[in-house]
Amino acid sequence: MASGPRITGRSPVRAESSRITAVILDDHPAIVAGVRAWCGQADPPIELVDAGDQISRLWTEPGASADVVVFDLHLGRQPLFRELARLVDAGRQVVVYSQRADGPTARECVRLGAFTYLTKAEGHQHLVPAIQAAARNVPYTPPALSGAFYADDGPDRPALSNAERETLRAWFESDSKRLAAHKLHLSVKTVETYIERVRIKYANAGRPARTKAALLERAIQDGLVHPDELAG
Amino acid sequence: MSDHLARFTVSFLRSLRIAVLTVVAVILFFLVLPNLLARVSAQPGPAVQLGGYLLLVAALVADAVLVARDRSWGRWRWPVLLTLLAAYLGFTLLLPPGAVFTIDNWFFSAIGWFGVLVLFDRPLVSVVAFVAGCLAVTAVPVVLLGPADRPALVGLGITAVSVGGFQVLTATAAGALRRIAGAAASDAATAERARTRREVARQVHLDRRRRYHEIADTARPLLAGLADGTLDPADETVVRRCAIEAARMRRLFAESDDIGDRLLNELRACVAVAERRGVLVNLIVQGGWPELPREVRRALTDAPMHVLSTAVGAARVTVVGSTEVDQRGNAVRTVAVSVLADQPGTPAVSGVEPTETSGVRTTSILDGTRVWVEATWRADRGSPGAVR
Repeated sequence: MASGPRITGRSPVRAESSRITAVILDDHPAIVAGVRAWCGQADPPIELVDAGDQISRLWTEPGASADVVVFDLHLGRQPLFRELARLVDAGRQVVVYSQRADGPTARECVRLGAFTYLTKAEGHQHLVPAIQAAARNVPYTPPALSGAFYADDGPDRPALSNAERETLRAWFESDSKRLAAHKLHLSVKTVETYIERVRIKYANAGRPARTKAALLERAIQDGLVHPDELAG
Repeated sequence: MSDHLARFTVSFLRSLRIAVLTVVAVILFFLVLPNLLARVSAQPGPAVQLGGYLLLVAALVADAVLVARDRSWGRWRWPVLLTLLAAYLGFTLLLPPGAVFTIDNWFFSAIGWFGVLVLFDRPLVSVVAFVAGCLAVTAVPVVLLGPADRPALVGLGITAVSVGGFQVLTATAAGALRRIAGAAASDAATAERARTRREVARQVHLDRRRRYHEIADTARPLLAGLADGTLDPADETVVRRCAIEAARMRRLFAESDDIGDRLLNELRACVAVAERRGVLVNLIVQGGWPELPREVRRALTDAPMHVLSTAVGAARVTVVGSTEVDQRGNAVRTVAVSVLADQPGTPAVSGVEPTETSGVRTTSILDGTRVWVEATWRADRGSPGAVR
């Protein structure tokens, strides 16, 4: 990472003990109610400071200072890629939460700098961990996104090792890191490392964004990747 | 393209080629031959005269053989044309000065036609270039032996326009007919594709409407029951029924992307059966794959569907298509179908030996009461689908 993107906005790493705040953009009251319930049951609880189907909710208080934005990509007729890019540019941590599972959309969100992409079918298990991970800048790749990375056959896809690809697929298929590890004769820790490495590679290939900078910094600090690997 | 039209286009282009060949044969045997025989002993002598003529006849026969075999000249066309041009250049240089623009130069009225023949399937501009090349060769003696007199130049002009013009015109007509045949074939192919797409879309639409009705039949009483209070939202079975209905609807909404994929249609049918037995199925699809032969589809779905048919509780079904790069750097298509499901009474033993049929490798893992079966097809495993 010879010329890394500048870090803008608030400090990316927050104290893990403090309370996490989130704001959700979604037009279905049932979804909002469900997310509110999950956030309330989370340990520690996540405070959902605002919710609604207006994008202005994300830019005005109290939503404007929420740690994490839960973003329904398919609010309108077209996916809200431009709105997503604007949020990312403003240094927001965005968890895209969509009813659609198609790979190109998920990968485009990641490329634009979304923190992660989550399908609504995965929400029950993965939304709260994803919000918590977003607040701590720890990569979080839910199974559907893992499948989208595995299925990527675009010309500019990052180069992945066979072990990384097999891990992506096993995690996508089983939704269980323990089972994936068992199948591939790896430890759960190694499975997590492979998945994180892939996420870092995609962050590195994406456009400059605070998410990218934060993920790469953290990955280098944790010794997950060597700076030389990300060059070029 | 429909077979009928494909056959018609091929036979039409062949007839066109035969027509051009006939024109050249007639010119060679009924126009050029009498001229040649009338002056066979004139300079440059009978041997050169007849040699040149036989060379042209040989080229004509070669073309006739290619037409009969329905083959193009391919990479031989330019060597052949250059040989003819070289022979023609030698011939003009051996002619007595002043005879180049007269009927003594019978070679000139024949050679351009070979451009029309040999360059039949090339753009018109290459025929024009060849004919221009013949004219340039004709003008070589003028350059070497000094300017010719006026009548000779006029003669050259007339010959150039009449002979070259006729040749280029024929090539133009043949090219136009060739383009029309090509356009007709591609139009028909487009129409055929549109018809197929429409038919598939109609079938899919009917099928989807049927399933919307089915969902209405099962979801409506559930919603009505929740609304009028006869069903308790806290009841486990009600929660379960809601989850199943939601999964079915989600799948129906997501379907528009993959119209008419047989592998998915077969999987969906199995998923629907499992759902009717009360299994909560989550089907997730990523990536794309080519149209797979039936035996590959069967091998891919066999084991996973067996698991699904005996599953209880919940099942996760995934289909993922991708392109891998093998050790030699070749791109290899892969498709994997996986089912992870609760199964009662399975022994808690893990790892079952992988099996392989039709290029599909199937692995199974048992995990407590869950079983995970994964079938993977790779295009390079020598299966019937590997040619794609």
